[in-house]
Amino acid sequence: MFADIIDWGLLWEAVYLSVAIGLGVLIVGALAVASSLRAEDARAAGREGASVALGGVTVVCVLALAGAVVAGIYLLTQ
Amino acid sequence: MSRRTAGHASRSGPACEHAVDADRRARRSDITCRRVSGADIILVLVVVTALGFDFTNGFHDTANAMATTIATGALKPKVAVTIAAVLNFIGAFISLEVAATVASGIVDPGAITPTVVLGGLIGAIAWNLGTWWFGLPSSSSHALIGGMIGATLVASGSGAVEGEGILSKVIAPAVLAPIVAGLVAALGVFLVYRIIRRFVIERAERQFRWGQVASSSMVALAHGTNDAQKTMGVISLALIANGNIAGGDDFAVPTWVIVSCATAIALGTYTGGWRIIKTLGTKVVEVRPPQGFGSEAVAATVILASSHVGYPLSTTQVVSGAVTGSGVGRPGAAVNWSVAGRIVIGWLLTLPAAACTAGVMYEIIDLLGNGAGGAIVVCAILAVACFLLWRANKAHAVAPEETISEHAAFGEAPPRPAVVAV
Repeated sequence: MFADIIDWGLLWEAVYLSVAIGLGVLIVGALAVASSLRAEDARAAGREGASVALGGVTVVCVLALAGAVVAGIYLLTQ
Repeated sequence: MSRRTAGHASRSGPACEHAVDADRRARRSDITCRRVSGADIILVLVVVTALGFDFTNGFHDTANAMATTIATGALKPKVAVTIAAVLNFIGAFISLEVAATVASGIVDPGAITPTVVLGGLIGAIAWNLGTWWFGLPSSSSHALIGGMIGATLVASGSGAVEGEGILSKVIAPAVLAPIVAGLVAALGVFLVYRIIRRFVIERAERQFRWGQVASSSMVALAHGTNDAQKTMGVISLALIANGNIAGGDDFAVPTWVIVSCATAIALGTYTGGWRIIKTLGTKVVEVRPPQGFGSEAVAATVILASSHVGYPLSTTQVVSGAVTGSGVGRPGAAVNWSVAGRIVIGWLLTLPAAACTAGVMYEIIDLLGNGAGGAIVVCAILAVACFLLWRANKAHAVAPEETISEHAAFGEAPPRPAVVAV
């Protein structure tokens, strides 16, 4: 009876979206922090090329997070 | 310009003055003849009580968005609650979908009368205030649903309560959502600490500040969008029942309802329920910035993913689950399982306790003739209870400064003052 009442397909969709996007946001956030710190270290060590590359990774990660925020606001408006 | 006004405008001199006087007398007579009915009084009480519930919803749930941000010192307490209040206000205007569907599928819409709504609201407010006093982050949405179920059960019997709807729309998501949020937060925060393990932890933590602010803000916005609408729905139901607005296809939430609900929830949020903020931010687990970012980001994701597939969720339960999970995921963190257990007991009691209180309140209204007299009596009981709680709170208040962790990552945790605040 319980199994018939619950829409397991929708529930599963909510779970895997939560797991995939939740973990994705956290990993991208951590990568942004790690690359930004490594960029600082590289700049301090005089490795300008590595610093710029790592800075680029940071920017990409931050843009991805900003995209997630915009997507979230879009979902709220639907 | 109306025909009558146009007629006046075309006249001039004494004739015009005479016509205007006659018009004023007619209007005055209309106002005098239209006596205020018992239904009007009940409607006013429902609207005021609904806005009161919205206010308690705001200050009860400020912790959801800002407890971790305040605990780590990423934002000062007053700045955090101001941001949360503004975002709750904005969130209330973003979408009106939930407002049209409140309580549908849970109780029979035909059984809902203004006095049932009033009983339900009072049950929900009583539970919100009780859990706030004990610093328990319980679900305001479940309190409202429980209140509506209890009042409907007493008014129309069990046939008016839709058991399947409660199981699929309330119970199943309520069980699953905090578990999913907790597991994702535990795994996510564990991975975050793995990625940043090569760096000095204090240096890495500083970088998470803006991530914390952004993720908390998303939770505040989602809260405003979801929770303010529930009160809009309740007020709209009462207005339809009283014949003030049209239901069905012509249904539209009046602008004054949207603005007043948004204002009530924002004011409640700004008041900042410091007791619950303290529990969630400092008592479940000591929150560090990567955890704060992790728990709020996961909570926002779970809420949005569930909304996307149409599952209404309790923001409180999702955030509490995520904060606890983030404590499990951080190496070396110790979750206070006794506090977590108390919170879960609060969740289990929310629906039945709010239902019982609402049922008793409806019974009182019914005993007094199911009219304005009974409604005034139960509102007076609520007002007296609120006053007594307010007086008791003055003696045992939690100050905003007490909600900052003793090991806050940003700034310094100030000494604990004996300041009066809610």
